[in-house]
Amino acid sequence: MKNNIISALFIPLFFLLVIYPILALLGHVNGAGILKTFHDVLFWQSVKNTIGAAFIASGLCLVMAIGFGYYHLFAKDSYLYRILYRIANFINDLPAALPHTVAGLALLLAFGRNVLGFVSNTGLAFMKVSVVFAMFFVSYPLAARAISAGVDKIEAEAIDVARTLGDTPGKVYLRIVIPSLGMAMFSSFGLAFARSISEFAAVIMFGGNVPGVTQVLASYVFTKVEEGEIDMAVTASAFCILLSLLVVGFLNLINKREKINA
Amino acid sequence: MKRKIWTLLIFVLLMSFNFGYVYAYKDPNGALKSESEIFKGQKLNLYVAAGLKKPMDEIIAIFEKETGAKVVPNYGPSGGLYTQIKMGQPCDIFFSADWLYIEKLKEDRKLAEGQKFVQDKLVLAVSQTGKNKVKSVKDLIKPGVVVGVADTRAPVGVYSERALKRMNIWDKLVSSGNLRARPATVNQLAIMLQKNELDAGLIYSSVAKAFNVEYVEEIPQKFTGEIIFGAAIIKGGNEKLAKEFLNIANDNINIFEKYGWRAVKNEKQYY
Amino acid sequence: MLEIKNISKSFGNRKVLKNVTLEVKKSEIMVILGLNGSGKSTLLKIVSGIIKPDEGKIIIDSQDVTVLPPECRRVGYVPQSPALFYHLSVKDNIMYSLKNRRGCEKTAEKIIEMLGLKDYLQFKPRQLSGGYKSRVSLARALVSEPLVLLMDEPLKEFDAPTKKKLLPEFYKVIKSINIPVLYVTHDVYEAELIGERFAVVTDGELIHLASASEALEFIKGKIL
Repeated sequence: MKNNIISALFIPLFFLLVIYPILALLGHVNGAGILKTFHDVLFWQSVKNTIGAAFIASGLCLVMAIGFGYYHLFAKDSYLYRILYRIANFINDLPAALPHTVAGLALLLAFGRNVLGFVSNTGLAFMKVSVVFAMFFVSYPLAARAISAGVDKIEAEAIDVARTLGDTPGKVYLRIVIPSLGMAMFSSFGLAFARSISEFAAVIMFGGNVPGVTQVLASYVFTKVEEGEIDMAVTASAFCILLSLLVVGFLNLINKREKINA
Repeated sequence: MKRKIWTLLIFVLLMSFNFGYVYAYKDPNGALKSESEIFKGQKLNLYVAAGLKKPMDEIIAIFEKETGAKVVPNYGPSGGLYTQIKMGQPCDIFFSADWLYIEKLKEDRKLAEGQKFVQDKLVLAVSQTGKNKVKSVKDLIKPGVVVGVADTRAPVGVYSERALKRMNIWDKLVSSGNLRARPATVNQLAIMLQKNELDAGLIYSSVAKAFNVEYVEEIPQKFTGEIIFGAAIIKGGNEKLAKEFLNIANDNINIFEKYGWRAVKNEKQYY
Repeated sequence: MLEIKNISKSFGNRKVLKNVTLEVKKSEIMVILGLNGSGKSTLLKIVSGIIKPDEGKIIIDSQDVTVLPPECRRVGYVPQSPALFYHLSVKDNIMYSLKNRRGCEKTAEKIIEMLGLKDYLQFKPRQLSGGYKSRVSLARALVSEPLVLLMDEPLKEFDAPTKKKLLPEFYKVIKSINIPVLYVTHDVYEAELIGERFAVVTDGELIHLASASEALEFIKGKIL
């Protein structure tokens, strides 16, 4: 522990601004709130819907992010790749910059029944799938950035050598790059998951927010706050936090075991 | 004798100043320098239910011009705004889409003055596709109809649920699976209808007018209860400035009527 | 035979290679010397296809490969750091090119034997010392049966005694393969031990010289 000005400033600030609010929330949890919340069927339904959808959305994010990583790596190789990459890179940041309700509206107009009426009488909106998709839309930029950071860390010379040994860019990516991504894939999934379970405005607009069917945990918390049921809101929020901690902890554990075996 | 005359003169002078000051302050049009100088440069924290945005924007323009004060508006669902006020966020005046929140603020001892502001009614609105499917409330449970009802965090959601329950339709609607969307504000629901992503939904007649959405049925007050939009001046805020805003809003109630609301005939004051 | 004809390359405003022309015959070890940043590595990357030149041609065994990507050329590339595939075993590293139907098991066995790697095949690269990592890197390149061998300062990280030990081994193995070899280094003594012909890259230009000591004089002259 260095006794210098950085520690003196950073450590107390970190505790105050990051740790303390979480502790304050957890500190407000009480028995009555827990009982009420755990007895509420809608709570458990929203938990199930949220975790399930977030899991699938994060998986989808990871797959798409790995695809993005390919263009990130080989962008300079040809004119076509460079154009595709620039477009993908630019659009990447767009969902994150959009206000969430706007993102939800965009999804609704794009995939609602006016465009995809043949799929169902609400198009692809207002279904459990829609919740997954809204989560994917807002989390993908994070996942993509984590993967491209991971790709950047891989030794360029190893990739060059593989190509001289006969690998096309595609083969190098599958045989060398993806196996070497390791930790980046976990953090990509983890980030996407955390983002997905906290998203609600876009999910409300596109998913529908019907309690028991398409309502997510974040929306449940909000409704409880509005109804004045602060105890239940706090319990549900604490649940959310513990959930995120579990996921992050689990991912870290897997990664450590990977490192030992390597 | 001289001293008495001087005393009388001074007395008369002081009294005339007094009357003059009172006269200037009482002038309702506020065109006099003394009044506009009181409010100039001040800020008004205005919380408004999302549905009132359009007429309220006009009131804000009038208010800013007349007083020289600046309005900092905060639009949102009434429930959310109420919670913000309860948690201590700075607010001078609050316009709620549900009188319920004004009463809650009174219980919370945060109410300096409350007033029933405008009335609205709940209507069954339909989209282009919904027009052919839904002619009245009982059509909502027909198979294949896509229905939206606002979430209960918005007052319109509370009114809608209450009305549908009293009409014995709510449970059937939920079990039919026709209820596909519960957006957070009445405006979001109106947009969904306007863009034809739903068949039908329950919104305020004022909102229907604002978004150019047709409606096929007015829900009678006996089912919805009185839909009163209330105004609350918050204790501890800039109460003088808030009162000024409320006065201007009351004086220009015709703007709200233009957008589809009705003035409340018997104004009720709360202290 | 390897023919490098009129190769030029700029990075932004900086002209790194100017009109470089060079020929290397079969079984010839051509050493290229020069100070750091002189463009030697760039030249190797252009020959291997990793970087595209602005002008000029690369011809390998009478075939013009200038527009071909690396995977279509038959070059062996041994970079500065061993750049091994750490998620694969030593054996899988060495035999990597067999996945692309280049080389065969027999060749691989011979090279593994020559570089003394027989006992290390099941290891993971992380478990090897620096010297052995370099051996694996060379073996991996040779197993692909390349038409040209490119070595970019492969012994840069090592101290003099290790170099003294590895260089003769490498020399024997490379000579037995009978292909043109471009060997880049900035170490004059290394050059002397392994080289047969010599050239210096300076200010983007390539200048042929008779011996390593002549190259040293040249470089000294340039600095002073």
